[in-house]
Amino acid sequence: MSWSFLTRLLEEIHNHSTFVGKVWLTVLIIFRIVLTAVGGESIYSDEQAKFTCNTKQPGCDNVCYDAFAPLSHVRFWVFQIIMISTPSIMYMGYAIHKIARSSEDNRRKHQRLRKRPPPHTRWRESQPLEGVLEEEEDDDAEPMIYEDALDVQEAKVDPVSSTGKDPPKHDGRRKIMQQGLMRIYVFQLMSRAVFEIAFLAGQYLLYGFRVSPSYVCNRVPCPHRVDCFISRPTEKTIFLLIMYVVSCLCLVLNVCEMLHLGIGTFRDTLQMKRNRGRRSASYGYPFSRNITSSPPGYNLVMKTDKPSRIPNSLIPHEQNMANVAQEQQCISPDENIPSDLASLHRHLRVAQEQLDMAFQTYQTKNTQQTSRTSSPVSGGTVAEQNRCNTVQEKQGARSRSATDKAATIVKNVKTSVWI
Amino acid sequence: MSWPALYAQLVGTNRHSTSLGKVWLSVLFIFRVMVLVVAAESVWGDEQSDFTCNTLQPGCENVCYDQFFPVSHIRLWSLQLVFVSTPTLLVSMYVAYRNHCDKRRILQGQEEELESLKKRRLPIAGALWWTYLCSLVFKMMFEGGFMYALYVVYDGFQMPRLVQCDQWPCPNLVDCFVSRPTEKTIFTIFMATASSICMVLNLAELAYLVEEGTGREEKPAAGRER
Repeated sequence: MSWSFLTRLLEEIHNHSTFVGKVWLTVLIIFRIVLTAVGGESIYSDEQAKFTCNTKQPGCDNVCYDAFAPLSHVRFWVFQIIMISTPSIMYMGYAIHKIARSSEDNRRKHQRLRKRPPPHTRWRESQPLEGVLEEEEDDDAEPMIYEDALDVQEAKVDPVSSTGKDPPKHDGRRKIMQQGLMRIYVFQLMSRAVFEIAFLAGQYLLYGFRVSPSYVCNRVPCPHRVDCFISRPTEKTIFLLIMYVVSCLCLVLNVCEMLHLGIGTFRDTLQMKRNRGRRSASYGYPFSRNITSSPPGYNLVMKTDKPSRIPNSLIPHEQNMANVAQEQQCISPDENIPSDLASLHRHLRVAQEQLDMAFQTYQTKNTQQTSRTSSPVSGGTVAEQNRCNTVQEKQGARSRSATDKAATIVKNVKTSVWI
Repeated sequence: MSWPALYAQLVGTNRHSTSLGKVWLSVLFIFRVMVLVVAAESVWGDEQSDFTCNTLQPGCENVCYDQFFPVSHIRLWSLQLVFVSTPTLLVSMYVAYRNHCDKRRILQGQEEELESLKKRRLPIAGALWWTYLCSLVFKMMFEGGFMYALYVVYDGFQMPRLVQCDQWPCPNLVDCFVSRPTEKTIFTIFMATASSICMVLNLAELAYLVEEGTGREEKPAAGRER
């Protein structure tokens, strides 16, 4: 039980830091802990035994050594390492605790959701967020990409990487943000920086930049002013300077990490504002929930003689509401199904909607009189179609326009078996 | 002193502690055991070899050292850490006993639950609550007791630079000089502070347990009233 305990703890922190944080940890472990343990033992082992004063007065050596070194360099560095590691260890404990709790909450929520379908608005609100989060998941698999990439947005075209690594890692700036740990992480960084600065200042005040070879001492019981001589002063000076440089390097890495977080958060906020601006126009509509619509399979029974192309601008408002209601009804079964089948289900559902649209247009053309709606509504329905399409795109399907899909599906319908 | 063995024992009981208990364990191992092993032992390493008395009389140094340092700080702190960690083992003993009883019941029934039995986390209620409370009380008693003992034996937390001794065979009142007194004072104060922090954590955990226990008693009472 020496440094191995602390190094094991610090290695755990690797799974909960950003890229710069990992570099900081490596520097801490390799340069500071190893140097202190190895160099400290060999250089400072005889620091008092070989501290000789130019007198035979017993006790003068002890007293003068105590005056020269109230706290030995090695012990100072031990305190420094422990105090600087403490914020990271506390953060790690808190992060693990919070992640464990949130995963339990998610499990409970999923169990609850299986029992009742979510309300319409909640589903709508969660969609854009899910989209953004899914995009961010791609970057988390390779935090280094974020560091080097000039355009983060282009990286989102990659399919969602499998998060099947065990143990689950919660590193990377975005994952930290997702878990709501960003504030504590920043607080931890700041306290680390404060401790680092405090210890650097303390080291300067206590030891300066040089270990002088001789020390003049006038304490009782030394009979007069005596010269005392320190063992290995040059080696100790070199070591002292190395530890100064390593401390400054760790401080610089701390500052870099804070900047990295700040710039990244700033970029994300800008991007989210842009996305919100794009999507808020389409979601300005309060859709009512009281929509009566035919059950999903009903329209399959209807015969059709001629297929009709459906230009998006002519889709009446009510039909889209019907589609949305159908989507809403079909949400709850998906919860129980694994993700691949769920995506397949979604594809099938969208295809079904297109079919329903086609048949209902044919129906309503004959029956409806006052179906023409104003332009903002049709704009909304166009956006609705686009949103369905983007959902499919995110599942990895090829992107097609709604009209093409409807047209091809309708064409296929003509050739397939109908009752 | 085999600290890794102690650590291995205590980490197993961590699953059944509260969050404060986990924080207490981290503080114990990082700030007390680690500092003791890595730093303090080297400071006190030469405590007798560099204890010099102003006399050539053989044996005087040994006798005077023994008079002023009956028990070294390092040994006192090691004992304190061992005694303070032991009550946690009470809790793990109780959990093992419960698991043993449940295992016997389950073996008569289904076999799949054996695995979950090992991995489950018992809620701190009933007899486990009392065991936990007792362990906390013992921890605080040991902590306070050892701190008081250190204070009494060494007349405070400061290490004197000079001690005067006239035990036989020292010829007269001789001055004896302690090695590294300032460094030892710094470490004594540090360990006392860490000890007080651990005591505060124990108190907080005690208060939390009491609050949780009384809260749970009120809930079924309220249910019965309805």
